[in-house]
Amino acid sequence: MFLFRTFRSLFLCLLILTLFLSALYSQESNGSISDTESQKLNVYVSGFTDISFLREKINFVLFVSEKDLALVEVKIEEKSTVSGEKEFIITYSGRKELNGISDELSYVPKQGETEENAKQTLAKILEGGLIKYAAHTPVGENISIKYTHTEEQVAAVKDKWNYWLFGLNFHFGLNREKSMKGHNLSGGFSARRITDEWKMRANVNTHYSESTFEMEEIGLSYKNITRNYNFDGLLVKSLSDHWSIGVFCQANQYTYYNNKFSIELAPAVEYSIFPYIESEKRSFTFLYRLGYVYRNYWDETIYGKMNEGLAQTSLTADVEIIKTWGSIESYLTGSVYLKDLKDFTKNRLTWHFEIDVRLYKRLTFDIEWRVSMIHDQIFLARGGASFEEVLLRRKRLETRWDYSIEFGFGYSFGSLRSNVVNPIFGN
Amino acid sequence: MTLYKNSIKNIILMNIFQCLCFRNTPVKVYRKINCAAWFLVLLLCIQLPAPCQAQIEGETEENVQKKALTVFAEGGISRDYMKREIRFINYVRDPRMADVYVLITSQSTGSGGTEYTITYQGQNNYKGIDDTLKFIRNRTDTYEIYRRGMIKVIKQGLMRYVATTPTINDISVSFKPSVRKIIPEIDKWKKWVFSIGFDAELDVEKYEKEYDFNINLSASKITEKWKITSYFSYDYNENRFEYEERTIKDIRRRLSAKSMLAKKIGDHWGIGVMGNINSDVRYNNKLSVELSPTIEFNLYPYSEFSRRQFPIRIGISLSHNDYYEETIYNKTSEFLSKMFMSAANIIQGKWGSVINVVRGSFYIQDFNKNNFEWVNMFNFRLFEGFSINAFTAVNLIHNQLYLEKGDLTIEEVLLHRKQFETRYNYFISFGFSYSFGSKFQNIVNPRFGY
Repeated sequence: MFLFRTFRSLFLCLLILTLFLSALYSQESNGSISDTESQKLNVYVSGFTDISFLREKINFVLFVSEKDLALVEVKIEEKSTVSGEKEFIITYSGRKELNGISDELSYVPKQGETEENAKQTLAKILEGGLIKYAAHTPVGENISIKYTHTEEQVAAVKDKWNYWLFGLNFHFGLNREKSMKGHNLSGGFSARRITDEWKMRANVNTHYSESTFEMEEIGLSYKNITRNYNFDGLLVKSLSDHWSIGVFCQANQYTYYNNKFSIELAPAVEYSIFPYIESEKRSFTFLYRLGYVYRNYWDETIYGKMNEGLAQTSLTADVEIIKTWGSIESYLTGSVYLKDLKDFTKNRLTWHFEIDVRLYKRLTFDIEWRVSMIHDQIFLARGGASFEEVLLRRKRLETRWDYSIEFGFGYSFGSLRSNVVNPIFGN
Repeated sequence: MTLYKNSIKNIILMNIFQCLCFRNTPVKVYRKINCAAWFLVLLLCIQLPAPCQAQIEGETEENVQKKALTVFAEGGISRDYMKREIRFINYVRDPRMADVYVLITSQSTGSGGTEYTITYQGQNNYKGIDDTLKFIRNRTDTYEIYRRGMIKVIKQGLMRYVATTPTINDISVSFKPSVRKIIPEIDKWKKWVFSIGFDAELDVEKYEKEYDFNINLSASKITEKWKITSYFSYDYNENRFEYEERTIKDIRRRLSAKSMLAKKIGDHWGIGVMGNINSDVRYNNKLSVELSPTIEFNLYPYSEFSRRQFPIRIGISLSHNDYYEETIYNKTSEFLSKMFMSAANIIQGKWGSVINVVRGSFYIQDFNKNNFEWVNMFNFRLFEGFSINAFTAVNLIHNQLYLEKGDLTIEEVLLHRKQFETRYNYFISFGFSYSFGSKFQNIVNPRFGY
């Protein structure tokens, strides 16, 4: 008996609760219908009888029956062209806060087009023109546009250049003051052909710079010349959404690295955990390369070499994620010179990590670090560097490790949604 | 089929060419070259047929794609991201080739956010059809929130142009009313915005070490008429070189506090007072306090500021300066009054951009202690694919009142720790770039990095 009573009261309670909630919900949904309508763009259409068709096709618009209620007035006229074809002319004019924004679109249905298809297209064009008006009002915030084409990726358009793109550049700079002067010259050529299947890229760049410090009173006279040139080539073939193979080819000269001439050829393979098409949002790749490098040095190295040829292999893992809460970027790369198959001591390991995050509404935090364990500076010159070269950072110095870390906090409060722009006296 | 015929023709031609060129080369070398040539031909054969076939199969598809709107967009957003997110248009490499030229410019809002102005300019068949839309990135919006919102607005602005292309049939538009009603916020902060920031950096290797830290605070209130801003920042930077028993320690401390009270009058005029407190060892400046009433006239209306601006400013600066070391004029502190003026012109468009700045000042006590500065930067797109750019900065300096007595050390010069005495400096640079080839730039291929 007691059990029955408890169940009954429990049941009654539940019933009341359900009724109450459903009443509340229906009230809410009632409210949201009128709410939805108030969030739409008010448009008055004349010259087109089937408004219910438009209502069905264009859902961000509230078709009103009186001109005075509308923000946009649309007139559709049917004319015939000189050649006797049917032509629709859609005239838009903005009212109230959209006053002054007017537009005109026209549509000529293809010969043999069915009435129904023509009507569909006309509605599409009408809609396209109305989006412009919606974009000028808060209505735009709730509109999203999608491309429904079956192909995932844009069908690439081919022209007579067959996707090739070439570039040429040249630059000259000069600076002078009483005790300091310098000039620099650089130029380059690039060629690339990028399709979904293949990626080919080649760049040649050269750079020359000369700088002088002259201060007689303290006995300083220092001149520095830097010459660099570099060729960078890449050929990649796509194998699938996740795999690709390719070849890196490089030839260069860098004074900073005691490098008179070096050439490197390295076949490589890459695996991407996420499909490549998502690369702008998230990417996680592994790149393995095995190559051969030949180097010629300016000065004899600490190992007594003027030139040498070595095999080198490396593996890189690379992550990049961009989300609404922030972004992460990181890579870990390890490489080793394969002097002979027993000696793996000339190696290097680098880890870079970067995160940018909104911890709380107004609090942001970012941190970035890079750590390197370096055991492969086989290029170091025996003579070391002069003190001037050290201060001016003209030569790479010996080190077994290097690390850097950077972090920052930002906190803002107050009136954060004030969108006033007042450009007086600059920003 | 013709392609394979061509390949065979190529091989025959190549063999004839080799016979002519390498008549005297040893057989071994010749064989190697021959092998390489065959390999090349093979590579070409593998690679070329694919796009040709696609062309035949997808004739109509490609036509639709070719008739799609051509767009050149610059500023404000990553091009690769745009290509991935807006797939119903064709991207071209030069603004002259485009049906619509989209330019995105920006300026700061009162709350420290950014207001982007997206200008659409119709060309070819769309001549005279222009539009301007705005998009706001709030100060605390992350990169993803910003770029999503921005793409949405860019897309909506493009629809009017897309409406007259066959692509319109492949576009679906959906409407999702916002759940929450937008209630106008009551601003209890009365438009005041505050922020605080801290940054630290450490960079270490065997012979070289660098430490940096910075703290900054700001408070501002910006309305249509008024602008009240204040900013404080302190920087500490230390560089250490320990090489072959020599140690150099270089420390630079900088303190800067700035504030401004300004009022906009009409659409062209502004008046204001700026206050500055500074300290910087590079300029032998222990502490300087400066107050400068200024008046500004902008040649173009302020409402067009993000696209073109030409403010002209004139003011008087009153300052008290304390020096670290006695100056070449035997001063350790002094009171100075200075008159200054400046004009800056910045314009941007599809033809390129120009920045022109002229600045000058003289001390009221001594007119001969003056300086003049001119900076010019331009980038012109002269014809399709070709642009020239130049940068010129000329500085005539007769006002280095702060220079310290005595000679600098070599380290101070090489590390640029102290400002050098000079009567002038100039910097000139120019360059050009030319690109030619395929008109369309639709593809993003991230393999092996960009």
